Amino acid sequence: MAEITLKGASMTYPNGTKALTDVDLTVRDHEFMVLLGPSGCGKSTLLRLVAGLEKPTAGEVLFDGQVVNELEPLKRNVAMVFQSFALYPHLNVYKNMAFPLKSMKLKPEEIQRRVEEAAKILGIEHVLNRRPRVLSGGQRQRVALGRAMVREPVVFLLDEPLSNLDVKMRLELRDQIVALHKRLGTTFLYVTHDQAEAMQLGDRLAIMDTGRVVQIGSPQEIYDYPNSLYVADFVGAPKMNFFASLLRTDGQNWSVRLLGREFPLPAERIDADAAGFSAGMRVIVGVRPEDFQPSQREDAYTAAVGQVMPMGATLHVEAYIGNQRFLVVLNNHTPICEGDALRLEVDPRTVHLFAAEGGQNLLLPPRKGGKA
Amino acid sequence: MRISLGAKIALYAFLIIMVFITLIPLLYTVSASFKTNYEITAGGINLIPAEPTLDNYKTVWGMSGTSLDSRTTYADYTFNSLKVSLLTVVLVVVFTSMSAYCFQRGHFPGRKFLYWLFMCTMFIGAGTITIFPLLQITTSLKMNNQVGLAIVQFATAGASNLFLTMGYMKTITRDLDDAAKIDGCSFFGTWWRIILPLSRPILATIALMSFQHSWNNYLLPNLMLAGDQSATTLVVAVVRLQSSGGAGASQYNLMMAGTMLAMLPMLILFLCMNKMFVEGITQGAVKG
Repeated sequence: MAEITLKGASMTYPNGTKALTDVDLTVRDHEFMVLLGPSGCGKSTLLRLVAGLEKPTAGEVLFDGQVVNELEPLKRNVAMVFQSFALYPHLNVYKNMAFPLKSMKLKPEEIQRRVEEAAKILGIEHVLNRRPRVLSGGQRQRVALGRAMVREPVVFLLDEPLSNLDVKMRLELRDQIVALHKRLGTTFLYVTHDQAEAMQLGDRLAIMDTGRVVQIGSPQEIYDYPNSLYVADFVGAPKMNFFASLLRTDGQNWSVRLLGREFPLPAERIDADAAGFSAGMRVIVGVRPEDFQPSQREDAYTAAVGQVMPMGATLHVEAYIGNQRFLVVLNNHTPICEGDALRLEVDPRTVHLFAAEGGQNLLLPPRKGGKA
Repeated sequence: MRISLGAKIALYAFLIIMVFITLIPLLYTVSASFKTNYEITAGGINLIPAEPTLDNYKTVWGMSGTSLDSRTTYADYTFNSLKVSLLTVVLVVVFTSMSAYCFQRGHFPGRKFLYWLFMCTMFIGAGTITIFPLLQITTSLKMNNQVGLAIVQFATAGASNLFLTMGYMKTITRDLDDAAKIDGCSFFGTWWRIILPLSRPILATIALMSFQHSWNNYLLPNLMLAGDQSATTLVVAVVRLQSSGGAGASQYNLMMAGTMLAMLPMLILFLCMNKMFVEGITQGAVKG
């Protein structure tokens, strides 16, 4: 078990590519931390720094307060699971799993005990004598997890371990990874670009953008209060709707024009001075598709329904008000079809407000327990 | 790509002619090895011997060496060839695998320069052009012996083997190197425990090619082992069989039988390893 800290960690490759810039991050002991970001944002590089496969060009990597920049991976006692499984093709499953233990020079009886125990937990006892190439994708990744488990590492590093699997297997293994974390209680650092995966697995998420960590928080915190336009755009499926607008004020309350209407901003979440509010300031209003509610109120918005996409539990509805297109998520029992008129309302407490320049969230974070 | 019937016929005709051109010397050698020397020199080029005989084989196998060294037997020359070829193969496999791994996976100053320097040697055939400087070097290093011959054969074939092996190693995902590093392997340990066993197909291929090259080599052993005739290789000895009957009486029948005996191990090796050989070459060349 270990607490992992990165202090001002930067990584520039010999060809000049900046993979990480001044990253500060703490993964608490026993925590399941997910690094979430698009391809090429530096999340795998960060994982490699923690693993000891790369050395930071600036800054420090600390395990329980000790700088480990110069420490070899084996001495850090980390285990890593790769997207490509990275099983040794010439060795059978047993030997693959026993491989790190041999390097640790454990006794054969201890190796056998650990391998058999891990195989039992992962349900792969019956394939111990087989070579990786005859296994299914799910089995291979279980073996890779097993190889990581047997060494009883202080931290598990998982680099998009489920990306090469089909949907069914991915969901199954996701549950298994959650169970594994609970059972082992070890620190997990997990890299993915799949936000659904991140939301389900992570105690906390670290959202990354072009080599920087831009927001850290629990999945709910990040969903409720993305601190920037980038995070708001990246987290949430379907994506948040964005509407360009201008700030207005009557001297006391602040509002925006939203879909052709005056729309009040929640006063309790505004610190106008701190946020640098000014009348006429260009802003972006963000409304999640699921925050549009069907309404019978007289002052409700009236939208024209475009394409209706049934998603099983929900309907994704393309809606238009004037030339403005946006997406709405409705209950799948809503009787609706293309060409209908749809009456909608938005709770002011659910909107997000970002600066058009800089993209930072201009509202105060919602109070814990309260609606965003 | 669709080929017209005319083009197909032309292609097949060309291939058949090429097969004949390749096979005729081989068939003639087989045939002549069962003929008497008189029939070879005076009996025309018929492929079926008039009076087939196994005497040539008996004589060659049993004869006590060539005119140059009467104590060394044919079996000794075979053993010499085997020694030199196996040593060459061991050197090629071990050092090519190591150097390919270093060039492919390692990071050290001058890596690219060294690599291209190696590659440049591919364009200089180790034949007649380099033979004089080569002999100068081996003589001054006192390497004109079987071990020296194996070292020279390994060194002069290095670049093409390196090229093929690096191409093959490129297809081995680097995630395995990372996994091995995390599992406690050093740079050398990763080569020994992961990359070397995974490179077996290409190493088998270059081993076979090196064995064949060494086994069939005439020029280098003829010159490098000239000082010790009992150490010379089979191919050199076979060529000398020609004059084993004394001046003016070329013993072609014995030479042909000797050639057949020299060819046999390679033929068997190729027939057994043909599939692996072709796979190794195409994987190294295409995927790389």
